[in-house]
Amino acid sequence: MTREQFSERFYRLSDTDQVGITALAKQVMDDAREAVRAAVEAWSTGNAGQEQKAASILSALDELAFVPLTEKGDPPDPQRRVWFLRMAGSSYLEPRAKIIAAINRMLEDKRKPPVRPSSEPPMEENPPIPRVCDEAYLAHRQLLNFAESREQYYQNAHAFLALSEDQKDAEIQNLKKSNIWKRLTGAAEPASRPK
Amino acid sequence: MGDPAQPDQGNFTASRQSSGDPSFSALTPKYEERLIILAQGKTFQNEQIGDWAIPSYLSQRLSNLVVIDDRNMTYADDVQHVNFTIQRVTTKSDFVKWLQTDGAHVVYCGHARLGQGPCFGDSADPGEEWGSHAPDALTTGILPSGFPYIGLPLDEIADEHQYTVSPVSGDDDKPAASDCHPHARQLYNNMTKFSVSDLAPKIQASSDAMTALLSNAGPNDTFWGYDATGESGKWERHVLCSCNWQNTGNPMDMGAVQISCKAYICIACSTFIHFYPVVRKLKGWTKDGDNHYAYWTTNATASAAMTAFWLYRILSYPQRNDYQPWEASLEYAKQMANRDYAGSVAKYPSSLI
Repeated sequence: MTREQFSERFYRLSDTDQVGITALAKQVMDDAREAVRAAVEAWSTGNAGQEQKAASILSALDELAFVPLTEKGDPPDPQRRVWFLRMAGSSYLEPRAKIIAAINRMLEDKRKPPVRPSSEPPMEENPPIPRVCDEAYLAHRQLLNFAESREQYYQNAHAFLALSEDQKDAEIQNLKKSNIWKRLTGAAEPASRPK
Repeated sequence: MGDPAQPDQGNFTASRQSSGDPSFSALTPKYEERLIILAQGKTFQNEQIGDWAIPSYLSQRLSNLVVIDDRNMTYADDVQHVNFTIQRVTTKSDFVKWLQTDGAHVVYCGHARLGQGPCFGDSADPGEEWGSHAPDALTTGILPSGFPYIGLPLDEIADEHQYTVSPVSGDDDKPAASDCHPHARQLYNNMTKFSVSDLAPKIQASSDAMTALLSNAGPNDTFWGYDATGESGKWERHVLCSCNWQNTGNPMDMGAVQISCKAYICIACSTFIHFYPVVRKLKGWTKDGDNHYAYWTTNATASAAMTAFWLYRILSYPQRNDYQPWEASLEYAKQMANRDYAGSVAKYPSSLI
């Protein structure tokens, strides 16, 4: 789908046409992955020449290659498995670094988004409206804190959102001062050289 | 030769009738029948939720939806090959009945009552329908489903809703932390004993009205409690109350419910915090193959909107789905409803999990 074709369909859709919105999103996704799926097929053929060429293309596609590569299940032979692990790992490092950098910037943003009007009855639970920095803090925990189980994450997120802004600011400062965050954001002191 | 457990996909019969039914027709494929129950809790009935009312929200988006009346509708989905029957109920007894029905897909939409349980009724505020001692406790009020002990804000009990609770007497030992709701557990070391004179100045209601709601407390009684920022976001005095999910003496509680529905979607504020540990762990109602699915909310949630998104996404799952395990369509509905919610009305970062 070209940019013009997308725009034509996009601007024709009403904002309540969820069937149309879902269909358009699906087509964008399918179009983006179709050629990659062909490259994955070529990589899986067992033809050495095609496989090497396909591997080069898939490597250059970074994270775009990841989903099509996982759709066909784990590669059967060890050589392809090792290539997949190296490729998938390296292709994810750059997006991960970008996410960390975005979270780090947004940890400074204390603005609150406007609350949209709704015809809902009042909620019984009304913790303070989360600021951008609060959501950034939660994003860091969800994406990068592997020490928490899923249950612990949601319990801790619930508890964090119930804190006062001063208390949340203190938690955010603790994160920013932590060695792991400094390392992830490249803000750590250079390691001293071994003597 | 196909799988004998699967229907012959070339075998066509009338919708919603078996092939032996007199209304048999060769025009409509034989679809699987599925039942969705929407249980609307207190303050979340159709008259109170505006644009999110069901069936009107669905009618605007699904041209095949057949509205029989404002409580009953059907939807034959030609992609899924499933005939959905959707029924809207508003009483506690109907909610429990469908939780106990094999194969049903039950969606609760309402309040969590700060962890006490799903709550039903339509009487004007204030009143006992907000608690576990409604005059008609089989039909209205809370279905006790929470931790054994919950700290409830005193002004919520005595001013805002005026319902009877069972406070933990200061003459008794402080309950074990493990029996307390996670919010009270976090404040366990701050718990203290409050006298009636400690409590009365914190509310608008008279001392007599307050003690009546505290299970007819005497003037010299004391109660366990704590001061903290409550779920409402305000700094409040909380009274630790005996709530529980089983052996409550209530005609209905979660301990007495033999849940056998195929999927239970519990949409209210923070149900993953309030009810997941009780239903899945303490009660032990766990997923069993393609059965006993459950989904919960992670934070304060606009329940009517999330429910409308869930129902729409279940009905519009874009894959053949008849006689298939439900997991794929439920996970699709979860993912899409979460995106719908995050992109529209979300005041807090809540999602279904």
